Amino acid sequence: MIKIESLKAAIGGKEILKGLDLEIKKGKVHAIMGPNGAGKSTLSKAITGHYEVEITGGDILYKGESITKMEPELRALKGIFMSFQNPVEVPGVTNAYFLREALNAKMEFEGKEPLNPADFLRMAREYCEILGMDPKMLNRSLNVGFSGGEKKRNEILQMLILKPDFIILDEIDSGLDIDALKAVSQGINRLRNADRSFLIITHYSRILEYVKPDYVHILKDGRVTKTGDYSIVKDIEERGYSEIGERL
Amino acid sequence: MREIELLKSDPGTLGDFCGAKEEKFVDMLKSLKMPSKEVEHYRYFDMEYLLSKNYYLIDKKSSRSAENSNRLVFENGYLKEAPKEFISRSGFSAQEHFDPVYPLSHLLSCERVSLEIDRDVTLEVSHVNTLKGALGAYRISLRIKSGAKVLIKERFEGEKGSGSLILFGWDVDIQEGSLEFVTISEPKSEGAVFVGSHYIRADKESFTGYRSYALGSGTVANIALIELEKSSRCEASHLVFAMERASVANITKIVHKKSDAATRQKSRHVLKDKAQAVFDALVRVEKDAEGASVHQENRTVLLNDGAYMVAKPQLEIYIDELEASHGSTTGQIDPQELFYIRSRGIEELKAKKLIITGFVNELIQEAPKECIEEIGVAFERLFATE
Amino acid sequence: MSDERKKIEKAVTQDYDLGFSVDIEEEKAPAGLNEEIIVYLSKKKNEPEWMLKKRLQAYKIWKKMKEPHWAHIKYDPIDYQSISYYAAPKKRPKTLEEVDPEILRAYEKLGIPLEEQKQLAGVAVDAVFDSVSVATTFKEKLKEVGIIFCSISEAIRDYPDLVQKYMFSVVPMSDNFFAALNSAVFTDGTFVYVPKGVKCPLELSTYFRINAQNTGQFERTLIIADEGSYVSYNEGCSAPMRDENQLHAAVVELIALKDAHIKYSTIQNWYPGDEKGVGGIYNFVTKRGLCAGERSKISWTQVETGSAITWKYPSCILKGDESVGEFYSVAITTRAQQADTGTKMIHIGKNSSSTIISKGISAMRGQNSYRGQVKIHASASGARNYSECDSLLIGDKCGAHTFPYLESKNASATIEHEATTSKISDEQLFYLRQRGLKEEDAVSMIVHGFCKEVLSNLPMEFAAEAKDLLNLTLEGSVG
Repeated sequence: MIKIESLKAAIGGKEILKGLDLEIKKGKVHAIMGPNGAGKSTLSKAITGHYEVEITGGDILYKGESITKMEPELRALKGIFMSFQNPVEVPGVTNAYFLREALNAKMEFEGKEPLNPADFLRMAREYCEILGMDPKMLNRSLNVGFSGGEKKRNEILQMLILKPDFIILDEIDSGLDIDALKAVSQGINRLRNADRSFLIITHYSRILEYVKPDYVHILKDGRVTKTGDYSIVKDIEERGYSEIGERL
Repeated sequence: MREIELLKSDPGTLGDFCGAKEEKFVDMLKSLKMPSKEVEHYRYFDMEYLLSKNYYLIDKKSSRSAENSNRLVFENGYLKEAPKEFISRSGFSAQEHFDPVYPLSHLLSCERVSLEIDRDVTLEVSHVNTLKGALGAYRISLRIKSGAKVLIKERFEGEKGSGSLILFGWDVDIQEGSLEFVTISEPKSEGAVFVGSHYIRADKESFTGYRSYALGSGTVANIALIELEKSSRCEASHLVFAMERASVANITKIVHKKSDAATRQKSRHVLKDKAQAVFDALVRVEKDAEGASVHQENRTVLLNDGAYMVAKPQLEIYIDELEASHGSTTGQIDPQELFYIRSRGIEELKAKKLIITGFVNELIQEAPKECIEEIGVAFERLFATE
Repeated sequence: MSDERKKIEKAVTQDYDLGFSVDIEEEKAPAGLNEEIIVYLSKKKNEPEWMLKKRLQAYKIWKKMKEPHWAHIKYDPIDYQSISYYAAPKKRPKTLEEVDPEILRAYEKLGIPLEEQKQLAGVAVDAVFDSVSVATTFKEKLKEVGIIFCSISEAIRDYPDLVQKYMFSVVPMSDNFFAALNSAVFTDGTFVYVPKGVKCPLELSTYFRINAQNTGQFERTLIIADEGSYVSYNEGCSAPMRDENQLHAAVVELIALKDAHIKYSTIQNWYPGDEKGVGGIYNFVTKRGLCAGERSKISWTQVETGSAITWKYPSCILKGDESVGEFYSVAITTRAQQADTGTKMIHIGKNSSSTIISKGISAMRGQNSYRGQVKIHASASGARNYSECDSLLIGDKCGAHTFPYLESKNASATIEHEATTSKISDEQLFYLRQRGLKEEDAVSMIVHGFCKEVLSNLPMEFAAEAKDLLNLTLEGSVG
């Protein structure tokens, strides 16, 4: 699905990713864990084409194609989706309107007919129910005045509607209570299948109890320093990041 | 037709041109002084330059022959159509005004029409100018009585009237009832310049909606003094889409004269190219106006460097029993918002449009249905690629 | 008027504690302004020829200018020919010991025991008494690190290169009517130069005082912070009670070079006049700082409680890239005081940023206006401004006004302005009183809370003084 080769990336002139290698396999759930400042968010920004990130070396191949110079919307249309750590508020633009615009852009890109408003709304309401969201949220301005939990659920709602191929969940569990965490996990698990890949970026292991990863990577100081299976998570819980790092 | 050099004229003789000499306006203009950069609200809107150009003055017509119609139409300075049923004999005007163009347009006016309306009505008003290099002035006086709800929709056509300046204005007395005043201008860079200087007196428990939409590339100014009596409410909103070398001024002074009046004022500016706009809005709460509620809000997006915004939301308050606040922001489209939307697969231009739509949404919701299309067209022009 | 309101009004006023006058002999120029007076003044001060030329040039400019009247203030016309433009104590002490005991006693009454200044940790004082410096302390200590801290008259004689280079460079003599007048007739003031990389080890302070009847005060201050240096300068004022209005037209110029930081704090508590508006100081001040270099920073903090009229806009020209301008202000107007004060933040440099926090408090017949300009030039990409201007009204005869001018010519710049106007809420008062606070203490507490953001920016020594001053202004004989 995605192959990252000795990626170097800087933010504001400061190099943060220092030759990162990572391969994410089709149909698998990968988790990236690491201490604060390791470069986890920079990695997600680099993959999605955030304006702050400057790629200074290496490459990101998505479905075999280099995407480092691609516009962010084209990456999205090709199936890359990121659930933002802090989704921005866009006043005056309703959630429903935005979702339909985004979905129609994708339909158009794939050469399909756009969904009519009634069908769209039916679908959106259905997903709201799954996520335990009040359908009234569809008529509110995008993320404006949403609580932390509501924003995260709204990200997952967008994910369910857009059905992307590669999904990055950036600190999806931060600030969520247990009910919200369960609802969000349910949304994620619903999309798991043999063709879709996930990259879960997290500081804690909480989310990983609900969404079991196939692979776990440890990111430290801009590099992947360890790759393994779910057992690494246990190691971190018991010994913390520093000791794991030292063992390498 | 006579040539006129306004800035060199003495206020005392200005009225002689049209025989509209009224001491009240002569004195008013003398004390306010001719418009110049020294007049605070013309510091950023170059009225002095507009008045310094050479024009020929549209004279008073010898015989009036306005057709009866359900609209009010001014063409090249004269009244062309008017609803006869509302014509009244007595006019109405302000005793005091802050804007020198107000007495100036009174003194120069070759045409005055007085209306009195006592039932719910929608009045469409057209200001047409096809003359070149002309200076026209006219005034409309309106009394609203018996709880009537009056909706005025004002439009302008001046694209053929290059080099012309039209000084006009409304004097509205809302005795009992409500006014919804909607003025939509689409100034063109080579077209006539319309400057409206108004006075609205809102009597107790009345409602005033004062909404201006300036959508275009030319010069336009909307100036209003609104006086609020007891328990009256005023909603003022201003939407500006300006591009090329547009110069747009929204200048208001809303005075709370008596208690429990409320003002809500909102403006949204989207400026492109070398467009400049000034939002100069003062709300004054006088000594007897306790219980006032005042909220002003201005927000501006500059689409490129070189666009120029001057925002002056002002509060002048002489009592302590009130709630008052204002806020103003000027900036660009938030790059984080833009990235978020693009990351969902929406291309850049469309994402920008989406954000701007959200930005002006509140004001568009308030606009009369008929205006939505025009706003939409101007909106598209903002994003048209050269 | 309700009992409640009377109490509050009482709580925000009280007789002017510092209203007294000291008898000392003075040397005074005849009233009036003309070229001869300027020549006399310049000679009296042993000034070099170039300074006299500058003064005469400024006088010519001033004569052609008109007194500005755009501010939201009303006052009787000022007769500039009835003012005496030079007054100095006859005895000129060279050391503290030589200072006129009368003056020292006056300072003690003001709570500024000059004799104890040397023991006062970390504070050096250049006391300006009626236009001429009478004593300067801690100079030696400052000299060790190369800081020049002296009267502007001395600087003109001893450091002509620095003065000629920087004086009038931030506030040109033609800047405005009052600046032109000051440029022609300024009598004395303070000069500070902080060399490259030096962090000034002391808070520099000066106390101003208007004493001589009918003497205009025309202070001139010039502070230059060279690359990478830091200086904090405090200015505090008090004046004795007089019936005739006294004009004060000071000019302050600050220059911060690359990576330099100047912090300028003011406490102004000159005689405000009585309830009817009689007497009191007319304070027309031009204060401006130039952030000339990259990452330079100028912070203005002011607590304005005095003067009959305050006309004052400490400003920053943010020329350097990433330079920073700050303005923190508390202005209180009671009785018949009028204040029209605020700031200008002129953004020229890229990523320059400015913050404006203004708190206006109006009581009795006081009129308080915030007037602030934020101007973002086309060159100032990424510039940011944030302004917050709040007004608190106490009583129904006062006024609070907010006049922002927000201009932007750069699309990547951001301006944010917020303002509110409110009175002390009855619920707040009740809540505090229900908890056992006296009404005046409750009012004082609320006002302190309202001003907190600004007061916390004052240097330590000053903050305590400001707090006392607020209490003094707000305190009465309630309860």
